Amino acid sequence: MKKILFLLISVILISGCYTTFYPPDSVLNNIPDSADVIVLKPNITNQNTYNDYYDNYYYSPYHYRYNPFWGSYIWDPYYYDSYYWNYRPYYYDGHYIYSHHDHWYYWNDWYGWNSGSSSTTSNTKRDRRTYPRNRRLSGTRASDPPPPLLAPSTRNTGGTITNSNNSPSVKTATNSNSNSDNTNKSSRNSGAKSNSRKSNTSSSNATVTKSHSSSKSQSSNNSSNNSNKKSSKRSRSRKR
Amino acid sequence: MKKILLTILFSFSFLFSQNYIDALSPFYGFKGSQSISIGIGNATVAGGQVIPEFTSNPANLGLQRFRTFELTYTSSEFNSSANNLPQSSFGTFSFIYPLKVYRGSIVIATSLEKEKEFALSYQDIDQNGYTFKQRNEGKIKNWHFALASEISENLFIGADIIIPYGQIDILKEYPNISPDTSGFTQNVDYIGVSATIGMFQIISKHFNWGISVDLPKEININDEFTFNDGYELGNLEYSSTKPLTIHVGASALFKYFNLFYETEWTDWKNMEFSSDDLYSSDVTDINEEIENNLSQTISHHFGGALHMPFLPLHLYGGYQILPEPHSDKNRNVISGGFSYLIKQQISIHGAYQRYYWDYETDNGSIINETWDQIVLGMSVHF
Repeated sequence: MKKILFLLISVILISGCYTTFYPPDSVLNNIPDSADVIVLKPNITNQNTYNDYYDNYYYSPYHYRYNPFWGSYIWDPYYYDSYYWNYRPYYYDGHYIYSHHDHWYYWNDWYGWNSGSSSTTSNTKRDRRTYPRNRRLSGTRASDPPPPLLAPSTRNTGGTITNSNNSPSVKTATNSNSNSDNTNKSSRNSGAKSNSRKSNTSSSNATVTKSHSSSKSQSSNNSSNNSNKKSSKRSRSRKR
Repeated sequence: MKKILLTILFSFSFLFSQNYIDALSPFYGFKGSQSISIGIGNATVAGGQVIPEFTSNPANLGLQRFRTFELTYTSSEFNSSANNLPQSSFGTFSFIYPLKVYRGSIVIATSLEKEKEFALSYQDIDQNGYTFKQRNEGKIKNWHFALASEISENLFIGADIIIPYGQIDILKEYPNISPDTSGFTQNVDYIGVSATIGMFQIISKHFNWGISVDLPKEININDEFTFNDGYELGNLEYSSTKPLTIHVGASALFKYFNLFYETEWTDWKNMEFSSDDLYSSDVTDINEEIENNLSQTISHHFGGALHMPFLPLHLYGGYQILPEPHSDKNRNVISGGFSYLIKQQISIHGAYQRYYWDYETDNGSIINETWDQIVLGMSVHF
C-alpha cells in the first residue's frame, strides 16, 4: 500500500510539475516557420548562467551588481535583488521569452545578435537542435555591460504575445536602439547601475521577425549599429 | 583482588547505566560547520536565494542558480571554569549542481557536513564522594544527497537523504583511586539514516516562507569500554530514534538587507530506545525515562544579513534560543559571519558562534560554560 501511495504521489508530482525538461523534437518540428523569433540579450560577460534553454544562455540579474573596485559588474551568489523576483523565461508559440517586469531578455546562440536581419533568418528554429552546442562562453569579459533592461512597457498577458511588431515591448526595444551606443558609453562611465542597465539593454537588443517587413527593417538598423560584435559572435559560433 | 572488585563494580554500573541521556546524546551537541548558516543563526528554512548551502530546508536548493563548491574548516573550544577542550577539523564539503531544464528548476546536491560537535570537560564529585573527571570529544558528520525542484511557479520542494555517522570518545577517571584501574575510555560509534523533506514558496517580491520536516532519524550506537590498563570490558549495541522535527520560518529580502526567522519543534518524548543486548525490561525502563524526563522543545532562530552597497561584502548576524529537552534551561547562541567575493567566481566566508549556558552542579553552584567556534571557508561558483 505504501509503495502504491508513493508511486501515486510521485506520478502526480512529476506530471503536474512546473519544471519541465526539454520538449521532444516533435514539438520543435511543429513550430511553424512563420513564428516570430525574438532575439534579445546580447550580453555575454560571465560563465554564470541562469539556465540553458535550447542552448540559449540566460543570465540571472538576481545576483548581479556593480563593483567599483573592479570597475565592472559581477555575479554575486550571496546577493539577491528582489526587483527581479519574476525573472524567468517562458515558452509561447515558438518563442522562448525571458520576461521580467515587462522586460524581455533573450540571447540565442544560433541567431546571435543579429538574427533579425533578413539575411540571417534563413535558418529555421529547428536548426538549433542540430547546431553544435556552444556551451562555453568564450571571449567573455568582466567589463562587458550588464544584462539588458528594456524600457518599461505593457506586458502582454494571457499568452497574447504574438508577432513582435505588434508587441509593445519589442517596439520599445527596437526604438531604443537608435541612440544606443552613446547611452551605453555614458552609463559605463558613470557606473550607475540603473542607468547602465537601461542603456545597455537598449543598445543590445535586436528584434527579429520572419513574417513582418516592418520589423525586418528595424532589425536591420539594429544590426548595423552592432555589426562588429555581432559578426564576430556569429563567426565564433559557426566554427563550432 | 581490588582490580577484580573494581571491574565488577564498573561492569555493572556501566552495562546497566544506560539511560535516557545515552539515547539523547547523539542528537545533543553543538551544531554548525557552514559559514552563512551559522552567521544567520541557522534561521535558514526560508533562506532561499542568498544561502548557497545545505540548510534545514532542502527546497532552498531549488533556488540556487550557480554550481557551487564549498569547503570549510572549523576550530572550536569548550570552556567550563578551569577546564577547556579545543577541537579543530574539516567542516563541510558540498557541491550544488542546477540541471539545465526547459522551465523551472531542478537542482541536485551532495555534501559531507559536520553536523554536530561534542565537547565536554569538567571535574566533579560523584554521589559516593569520589572526585572524577570526564572529557567527551567527538562529532557526527552527515552525508547528504538532495534533490530540489520548482513544482509550481515560485513553489519549490526538496528532499534530502541523510546518512549520519561519527564517534565520541569519553574518558572518565577517578584520580583519587588508582588511575590505571579506575579510569576507562568509552568509544561510541554512530551510524544511521534519516531524511528531510521541505517546501519553499516565494510569496511576493520581498517575502518567502518555508517549512521542512526532519523525518525520524535512527542512529545505531556501539559502545566499547576499555579500562586504562588495557582491559576491554566489551561492547554494547543499541539504537536511538529521534522523533520528527518540524521547521517553519520566513524571510524578508530587500536589496541591502535580509531578515530571517525559523522556529523548530520537536517532541522528545517520542524518542525511542531499543537494544538486543539489554533485557527488554531495561529497554522499557529507559523508554519510560525518556517519556518522564524529556519534553517538547521549541527553538527560535533569528538572523539578518547586510549586503554592503557597491561591494561584494556581506555581513551576517544571528541569535538562537535552544531549549534543552532534559531540563527547563535554555542554551543561547550568538553568531556573526561574512562572505566576500574575492574574484568573480571565488568567495571566502567565515563565521563565529558562541553557545553559552549555565550549568548547575550537584552542590547547587552555577558555572558559566561556553562553546566557541570559528569557521573559515571558500566557495567556487560557476
